[in-house]
Amino acid sequence: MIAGSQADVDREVTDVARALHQRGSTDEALALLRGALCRDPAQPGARALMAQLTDGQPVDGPRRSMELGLSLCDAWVRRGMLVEALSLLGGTPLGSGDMGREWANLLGELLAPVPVDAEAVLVEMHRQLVTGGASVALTLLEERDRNEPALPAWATRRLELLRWMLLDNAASAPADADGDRLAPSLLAAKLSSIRRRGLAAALHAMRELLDGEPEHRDGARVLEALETLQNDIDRQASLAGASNKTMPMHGHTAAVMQVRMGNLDVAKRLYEKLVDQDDDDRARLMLSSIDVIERALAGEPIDDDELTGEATVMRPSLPDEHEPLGQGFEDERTVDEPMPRLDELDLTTETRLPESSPPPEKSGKIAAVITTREAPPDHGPTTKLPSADRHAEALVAQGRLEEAEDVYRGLADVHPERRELSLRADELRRIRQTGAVVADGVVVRVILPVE
Amino acid sequence: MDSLSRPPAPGWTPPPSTEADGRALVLFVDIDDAHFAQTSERLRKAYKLVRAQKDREACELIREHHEDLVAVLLDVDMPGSILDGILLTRILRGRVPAMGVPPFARNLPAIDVPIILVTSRTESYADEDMRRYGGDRLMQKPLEIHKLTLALTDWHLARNDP
Repeated sequence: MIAGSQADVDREVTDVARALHQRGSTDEALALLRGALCRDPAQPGARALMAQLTDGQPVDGPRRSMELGLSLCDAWVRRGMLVEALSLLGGTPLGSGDMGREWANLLGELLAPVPVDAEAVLVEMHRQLVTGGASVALTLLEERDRNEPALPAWATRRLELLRWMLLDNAASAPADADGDRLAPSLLAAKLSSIRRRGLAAALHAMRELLDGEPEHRDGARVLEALETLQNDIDRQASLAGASNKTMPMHGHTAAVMQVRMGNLDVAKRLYEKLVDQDDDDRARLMLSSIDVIERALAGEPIDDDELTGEATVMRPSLPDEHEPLGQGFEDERTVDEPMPRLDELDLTTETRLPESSPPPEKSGKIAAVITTREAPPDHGPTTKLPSADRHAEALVAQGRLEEAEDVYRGLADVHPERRELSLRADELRRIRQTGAVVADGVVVRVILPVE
Repeated sequence: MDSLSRPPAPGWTPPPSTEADGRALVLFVDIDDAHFAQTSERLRKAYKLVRAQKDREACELIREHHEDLVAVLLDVDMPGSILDGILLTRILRGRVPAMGVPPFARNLPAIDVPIILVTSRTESYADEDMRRYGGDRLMQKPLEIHKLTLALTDWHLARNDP
């Protein structure tokens, strides 16, 4: 049985360390515990056990029976617990079998120190790798890979290995030439690379199409949708860069990962949950973008009327101080106006549904209920987070929700005018208290909580 | 054996371990050609090795590359050398008075990297003794990439223990 929640994982780690010590692999047990503590220092059990081992005190065996198998190793790798996985392989006969040896050596390759003169981003990538930040390391490598000069060969290799370990080679899926030929429309053919994790290629293709046919209405809609997705990916990447630990793979982080991988169906389900549970406007915006893309892929016309219908992709909004969310209504922008791009949105602009308005629908609908009230200073989450907010989000990223909530409460006391601070604190409390996250594999440092 | 659904790992043919391509640099001191060839083959995917056969050459390479090294691997016995791996470790860690150091090994630059002692007879030595002399780990020949990486990672994490 492989642990599901983070607390279970922490207990599992100490049990495996005990088992390794019992087998005489004390060095590996210590490396395992150090890796776990660097990933998350708030593990008293692991810390106490490490002190016992370091002091040479007697240590009990595992508290529960467990199988030290490759399945466990695989689960740890997918959670980004790479040092722990390598310790497990090195401290047991697992690393002697064919597959175990291969995995051990691949991990040995991936985690090997970087050259002394490596550029700063690659040094940081390595630091993330060995401290539980595998998803951050992947993001850093991918971002760096997009820029010049080209990555050195060893770094390219690590990018490939990381993709294999975390994403099952999602980046290197073969081109689907038949799929292109069988596409139901020219637009769909040009867009097909998105299913092969080629969002950038799809963006390029759409821009090319519009360069040749500036009046291609559906093409323009698709380009807008693609740019919305890309903006959210960039936003998540910048949040990941601000954090010093593995990003918790839940909510938007998980959904964006699925978008990057081209798993639009899975991403859509995750966004739908965000809309259902949290009435999340940004999720709604992403849903409508995916819907546009799916229609284009299916060769269906992208009908504005049908998409916009009765409701409702909302701009991300904050409630008015005097009126609860879902109440009140200010001047509307018609749906004929272009849908705002995510990076253009002022997330602090107050937006509310009318009192009598129906609840927003799940997907594929665009509404534009956008206020023009003068916006407060921009502290929105998409850009330029103040440092204290970044710190709080870094705590969230580490799964330290209670501490993050405390930070937000403290900030809200100091800045009562920033309603979003107390809202974020409330949101974190709700997540902690409901535990609803567990059902979705949320607030667990997993890489692929695919349903 | 667990049944796992993973696609095949991406393959790679790395350049020879002695070829400069930006991989992390490791000093390897061992007179045994066969062992060097075997270790070199195993480590080349992540490490570039500079090799010394004997103590004097090792000191020269340390002077030349000390700023670029990520680790030093020393054969415990170092046949044909004045110094053995343990004594060279103590010198590198500054634990031998200058009078006791042969001239070629004096005034070596300080190196703040893990020193791994390797031997085919691990049962003949105590890990604790190696640490007392300034070594960081005693490892069995031939080295494997995952064992070396785990030892180096543990060394780095221990220094930055939260």
